[in-house]
Amino acid sequence: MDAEDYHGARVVVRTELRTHTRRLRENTRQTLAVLAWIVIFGIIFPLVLQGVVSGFSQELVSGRFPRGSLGALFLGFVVGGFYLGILTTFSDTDPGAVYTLIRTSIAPPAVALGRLVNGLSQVLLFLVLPAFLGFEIELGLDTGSPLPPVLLGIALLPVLAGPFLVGRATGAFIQYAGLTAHLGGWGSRLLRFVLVGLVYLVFRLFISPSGQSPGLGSLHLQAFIPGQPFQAYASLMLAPLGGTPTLLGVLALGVFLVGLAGGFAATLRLETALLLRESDSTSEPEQADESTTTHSTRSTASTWGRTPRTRMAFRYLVRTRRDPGMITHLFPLSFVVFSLVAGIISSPGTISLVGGPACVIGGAVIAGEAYCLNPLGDDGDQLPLVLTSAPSPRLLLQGRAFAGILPGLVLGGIGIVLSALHGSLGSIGETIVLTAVLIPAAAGSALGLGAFTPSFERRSYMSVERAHPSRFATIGFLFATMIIGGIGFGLIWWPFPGVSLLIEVIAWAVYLLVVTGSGVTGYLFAVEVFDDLTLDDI
Amino acid sequence: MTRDLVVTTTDLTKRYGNTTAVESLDLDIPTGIVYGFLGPNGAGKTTTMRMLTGLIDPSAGHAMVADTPVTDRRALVEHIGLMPETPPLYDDLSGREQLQFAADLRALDWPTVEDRAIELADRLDLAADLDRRISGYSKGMRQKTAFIQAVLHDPDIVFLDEPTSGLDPRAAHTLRELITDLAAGDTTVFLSTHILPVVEEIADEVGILYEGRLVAEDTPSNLVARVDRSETDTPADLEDAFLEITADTAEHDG
Repeated sequence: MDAEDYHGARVVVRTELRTHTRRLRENTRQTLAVLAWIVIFGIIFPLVLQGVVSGFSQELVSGRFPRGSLGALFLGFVVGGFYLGILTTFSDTDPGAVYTLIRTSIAPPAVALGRLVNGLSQVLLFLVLPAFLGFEIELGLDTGSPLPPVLLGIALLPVLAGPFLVGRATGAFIQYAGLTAHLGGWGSRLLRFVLVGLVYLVFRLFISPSGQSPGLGSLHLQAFIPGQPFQAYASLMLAPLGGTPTLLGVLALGVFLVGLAGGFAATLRLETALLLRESDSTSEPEQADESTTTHSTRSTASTWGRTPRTRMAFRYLVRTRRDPGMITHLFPLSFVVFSLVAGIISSPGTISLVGGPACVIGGAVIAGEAYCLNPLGDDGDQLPLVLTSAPSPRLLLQGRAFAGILPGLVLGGIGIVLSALHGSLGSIGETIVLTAVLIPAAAGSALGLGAFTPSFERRSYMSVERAHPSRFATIGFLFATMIIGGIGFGLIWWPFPGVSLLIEVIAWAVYLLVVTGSGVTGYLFAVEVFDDLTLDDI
Repeated sequence: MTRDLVVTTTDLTKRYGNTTAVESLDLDIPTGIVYGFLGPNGAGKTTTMRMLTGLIDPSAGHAMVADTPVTDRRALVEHIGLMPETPPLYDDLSGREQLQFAADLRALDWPTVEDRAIELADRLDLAADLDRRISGYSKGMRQKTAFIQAVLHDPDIVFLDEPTSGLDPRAAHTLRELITDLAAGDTTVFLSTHILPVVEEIADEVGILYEGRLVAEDTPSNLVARVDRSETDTPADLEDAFLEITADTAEHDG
């Protein structure tokens, strides 16, 4: 790396941040999303967790140094940083058109540095800072001194940035190894997914709420390693607040700093090497034109070929098989999956209780989120063809719905089997009805939600070519589906005591009517919106 | 290698799995000429340009551009300019900001190169629109912006992929003039296009690629002279030469 490289990287980062900020400012949808993020994580969360922060502040003020809580907090940040680091290698990695200008203007290490610093800056500026600032302010007000929030912020930086870089280097390494070993997009993503899952599981096995009182103060570290080093680190970094520095704390700080520097160097080296492999993969379509005519022309399987909408669904699924990037927007949901798996591992008996509902609700989430939450967004390039070829784009909407419902039903089927292991005949029947209604309704509702604010604008990272649904829509839909699905399972598990069968039947009927109604309404709304669509709306 | 040659390749090959995109390509392109690079769709033109601009590594063989191995990307970027078929632009910047960005990337002093940028924009009828957002640009305006940023730093060689695509006749004419001017100023122009009259008009030398192999290389007039016109009185042109050469190669390959 020389001065020219740093200059080139700085230009890339500056321009990326400039265009990103400009887009946020000028796109109402994105402005609202950022404001919502700030309100939820910068204002509402700190208010909700006010008791926790107050308790923590009081411990600090009263001279009882909260060693355990801080150790747990730092460990949480380590896992969170690693998760975010690896997450950035899942999405936003397909560079767009402007990338060719950058690649032919500056040296590869400068490109890699620009991408890395840009990714890190965006995570810090738009994700971490708004979420953390509220807590910091609250801590300052509670303790009546700026020292605790300042020291905590300084202490958290290496704990977050080090694992972020190690996570990113790990993701880049798996990407590189995957390309070298011809693992393909699915293999590489699966490896990273499993790795993040393992890290999360280890985290969960080491830390758990004691159940005595809510909040951070109730957390304790279950094991000597890694609990003690984190606590020692906290004692060192927050020594002016009552912590006692030890050699172990110094060693822990050293490890974080080495992780920071090593992660940075490794990420740069790996991503520089990855640049050429990425370019190789992006130049393959020229060959694919030839090969597809001779080797891989894929006709629609006979079972799919019966109706146009199933053929459309087949195409969406085939595209996903070839390019798993189409559904990378589902990755943030992995934390829910990891939580469930961690819960099942720590108490295996819960699988009979939560396994079935989790699969059914998971099926509904996939049915809605995989293809329907931003209907036609990914098909922006196809719209001139669609609008001049078909009387209505409803065929595409139906195709998307079917493409999501199919894997949803497979998961739902597993859920029914799991529920059948311990359920009565009646509850099995109810679970089947719930699955059959909830999953298609989720697809319909998602179409409607997506049609409300369809996004044709591609998420831009060096003009990356992707139009995923927003994370707010993805996470919001997840929680809504969990609540609605949870009510359904509530009706199965806990029939109203002392009420007649008629009332129960009415409750079921109302529930199914509302769920079906929302699905049908969503679908019809989407059809209406897209029937009136012109290229002016894009 | 003598400095008179700006591109030399020896057995340059690119493979993707079992598919060979470019096979044993030998090129010797002198400095300061317009080199027309022709071939049917999928012949390997874009892959060749990507190798010569360091965007991808060759699978085998060697290539030097301006005395620099194409694998030495740090040194290579100083000598080349690239205008790919899809203009590499930020939609959220104005034309002027985009050109500033291109200049900044190469650590060029904007006030120094601004005059050149404005002059080029002026000749291409783009100057009045430089402060508009690129998101509102037509395809032709994007092409013009991409061309200016590719030559802003006065490279030794500029690679142009379908540069006149989407341009109106007047702008296309101006661009042809600009390309000729570049060559006159010792910048080699590596021109890949399907618009054969353009190549016939401005290229000093033409290479024809077919299924990854260079099947003909000569001046446009010599290529045209090869065409068999025994059965017609109409004069031959480069299109006839291209069709005949590629058809002969296809027939020969069976």
